[in-house]
Amino acid sequence: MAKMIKLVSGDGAEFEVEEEVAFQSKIIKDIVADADDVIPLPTVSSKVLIQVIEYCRKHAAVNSFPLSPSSSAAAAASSSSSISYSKPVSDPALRAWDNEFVKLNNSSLFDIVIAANYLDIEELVDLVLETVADRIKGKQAQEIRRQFNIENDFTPEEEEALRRENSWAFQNN
Amino acid sequence: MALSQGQLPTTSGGNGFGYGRRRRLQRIGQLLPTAIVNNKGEGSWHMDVVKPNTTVYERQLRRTTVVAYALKADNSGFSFVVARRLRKSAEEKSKRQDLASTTGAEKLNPAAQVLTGRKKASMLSWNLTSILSVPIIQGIACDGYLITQLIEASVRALVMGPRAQTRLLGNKCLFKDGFGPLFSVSIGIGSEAPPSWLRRPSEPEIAIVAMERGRLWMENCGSRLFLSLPDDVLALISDHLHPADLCALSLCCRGLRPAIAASEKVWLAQCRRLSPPPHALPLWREGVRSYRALCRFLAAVAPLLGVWVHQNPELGNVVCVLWGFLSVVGVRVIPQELGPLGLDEGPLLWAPVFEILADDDGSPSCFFLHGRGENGEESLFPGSIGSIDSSCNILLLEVEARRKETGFHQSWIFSSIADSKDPTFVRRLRRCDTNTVSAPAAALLPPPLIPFARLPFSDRRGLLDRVAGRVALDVPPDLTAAPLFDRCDNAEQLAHRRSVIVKMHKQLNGGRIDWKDYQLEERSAQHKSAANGDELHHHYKRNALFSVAAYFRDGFKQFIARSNPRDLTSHKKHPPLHQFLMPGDSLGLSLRAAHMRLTTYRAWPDMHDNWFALYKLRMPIPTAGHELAGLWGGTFGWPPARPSQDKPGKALFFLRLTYEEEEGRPLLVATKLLEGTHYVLHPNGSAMFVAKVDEASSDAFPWDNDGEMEVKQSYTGEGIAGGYGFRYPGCKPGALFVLQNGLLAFVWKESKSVLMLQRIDLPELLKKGERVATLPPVANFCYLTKSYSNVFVGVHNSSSSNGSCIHHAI
Repeated sequence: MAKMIKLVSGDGAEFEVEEEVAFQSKIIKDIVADADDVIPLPTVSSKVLIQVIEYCRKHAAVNSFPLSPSSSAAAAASSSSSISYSKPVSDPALRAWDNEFVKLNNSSLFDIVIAANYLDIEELVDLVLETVADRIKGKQAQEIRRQFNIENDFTPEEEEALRRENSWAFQNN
Repeated sequence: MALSQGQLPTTSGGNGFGYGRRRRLQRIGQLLPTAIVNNKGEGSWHMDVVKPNTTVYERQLRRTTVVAYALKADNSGFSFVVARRLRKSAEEKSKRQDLASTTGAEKLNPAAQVLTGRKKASMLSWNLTSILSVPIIQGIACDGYLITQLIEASVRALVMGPRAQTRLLGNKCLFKDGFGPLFSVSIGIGSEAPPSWLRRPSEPEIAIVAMERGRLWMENCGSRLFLSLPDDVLALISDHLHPADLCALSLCCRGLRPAIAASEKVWLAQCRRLSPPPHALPLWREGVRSYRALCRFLAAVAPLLGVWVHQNPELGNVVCVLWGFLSVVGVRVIPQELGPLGLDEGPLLWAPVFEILADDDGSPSCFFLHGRGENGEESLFPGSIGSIDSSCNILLLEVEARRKETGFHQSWIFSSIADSKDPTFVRRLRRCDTNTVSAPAAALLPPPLIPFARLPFSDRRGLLDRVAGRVALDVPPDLTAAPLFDRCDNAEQLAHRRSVIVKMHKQLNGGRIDWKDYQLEERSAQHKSAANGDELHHHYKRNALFSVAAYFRDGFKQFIARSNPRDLTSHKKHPPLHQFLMPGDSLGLSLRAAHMRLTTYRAWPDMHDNWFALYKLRMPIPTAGHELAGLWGGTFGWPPARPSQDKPGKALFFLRLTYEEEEGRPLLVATKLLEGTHYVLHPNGSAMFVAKVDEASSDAFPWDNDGEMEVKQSYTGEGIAGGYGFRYPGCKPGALFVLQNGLLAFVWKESKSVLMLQRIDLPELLKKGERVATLPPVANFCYLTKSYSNVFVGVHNSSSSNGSCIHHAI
């Protein structure tokens, strides 16, 4: 019988999750080791907590069966790649699920990443940040503004001066 | 009209609106229920309770009633009409109406004046004072609560009127969404576009501005999303982005700019991506203004790192560019023999060629050419950097003419946007055919008429020598001996050297010489040569002032002999020197890294024989299936024991192994880069051996008498041999053996000579190496005279490279 851990969100809703699901978060792992099983999370709202728990549930299920040959071979091959510092998600089905998971609007994404950072769930943070980076990559300032609904409060002269200051970055494509 | 769903029961009493449109106005109550928000993906927030053409809000103030009437509610937003009118009870109204129509009772009730002044039919004389438009705000839950709050805020603004402008400056309402303050609203009243005082640059906020005429609009800054992230999360995002993306992001709005552009953590992550030596970053940071400046420098010079070669001298001309201290340094590996301690321990001899240091703001502006001065001492020759293409494959040394007073940088790159008012100027541009130079358009100003590369060889050589001679910098002896790059724990020395040198560069104004001085010298040189009576006939029609040809012909007859025939035929193609010098006031050395289409044969580029240029050789990285690719070094002879003191040294060879495909067969080609013999055997860049990787060799390793040497793999191949003269070597059969300790051995079948190779990490070897003397500056950069011996130690005409060079022990 798996041990259940209770997470209490900021607006008082309680969620019971299995231990292994909750242990995706390093913070929760540490707290449970010291203290009791009811963990209040005042800065996380219910809506965000539901989504985070869903992610953890999916990844806990996968991590408990790590020995599928395709995923381990993929893990070995991708371990030599450079930039991402967290362990790469190897299973293509899981990767597909992750891509579906992050099809959210900007506000939800940022809420999730703040909550995941607070709970110290490295994979989720990296996944969401990669998605956000994809939305920024290769875009001009005007397109980024449209994407994130940012208001341009520079005067044209200021903007021109800033563009010139930053021209070194834009030159090298 | 339909009521909105879920409305609260109306309060009793009060206004009984019984007329036409009035029937539609319902008392809904002050609070709308929270909307059912459907998140249909990005950008499609719906507020289901707000139906168009309904009243969503009504409030009774002291003397007026305020109503918000929804005009439109769809995917793009909602808009409301917020209106107010004086409040009157129905009985009073009807009474007044009757009175008004009968008794003209304006005096009875002052309030009645408003009403009675109007026509009966316009009982609903709402004072339409504002239209509140609420665009769909991405990422913010637009619920009824929010709308109510917004309406109330705007109502307050309306009620207080334009007089209240200054009082409302600080008026803020805090909107909460259940987890704390979401954003704050500033309200003000003005008649024009929202003035800047309403925007607080550092806070993400929504500003509602009520205009005098009645237009309200709402703005929202999505930058709050980024600004709500903790610092280290922002830095994690930058791991996935390029500097260009970060700069674009920081350009978005005022709030984002300090968060991104000034954040040290974000730019530190960017710096790390460019893989400088890891422990060096904090040390280098102290030399520049910020991590952003450091990132600017690293990103600008990173394309220069690697190995650059030239055909001449045939023994090998290998320049390795590596990280210095807040700089990149190009050093040449001298053709040499292997020292007594072998490749791993023995110092590799190298001579400095150039270095590029970073300025305070991170721009790679301090360029120094290393070379031997007139009196034989090691000197520095300052110059500037032209432009560095991120995919550069050729490094050119040029002279640049610049206008001093305006401080413009007239780049030598043809920009497609010729921003010039002079029609003849533009025409000339079109006529001049560009090289296959695809460099970024850096010129903001009219590009000059003639690029340096189009001048004839003699002019180019002359200019370079002259300018270099004029800008030579006397370096104090302690700095000459100072290290160029990191060895171990000499960071302070390096930092000190760097700061002194950068200061010197600035003092010399970047190594620019005044054109007038140049002209005077030319004139005197001209007179001198005329007196000698040693003028060769030059058919260029030139002003005597600019005639430099005569002077140089004295000194460099060999070049003239070669280039003269060319000059005779091609004087139409090559523009005269004075046209080149015309646009500028000052001259200076300049280094330019460009990308050109180069043809290669077996991974060795075809090089121009009279360009002062170095060509980049990409070092392939070993990958699965191409395990042997990369830079290898070694000597001939077996066993590969280290030679002792009494035995003569073995010539050191550098080879670059790449995988090519020829006629469908995969081949491993070993290109010779450096040969340490005294007189070259085979041309530079020839293939020392070629192995067929799909054909295993049946030969046994010849010295494996007792079966100790475990051979992992062996391939058949062909090794270089004497052929038809020097230029066209032949090949003889042989075999390549991959040994178990990571060594390679290529054995010529007939002669049984063995070439033993091991992998080389050139930057590491150079750091442990030993510095030797340089040649005169321009020759030090690029030695264009055909030579088959070791010119780099030709200072003392010594045949042994170890013996009698001047060593600057590091």
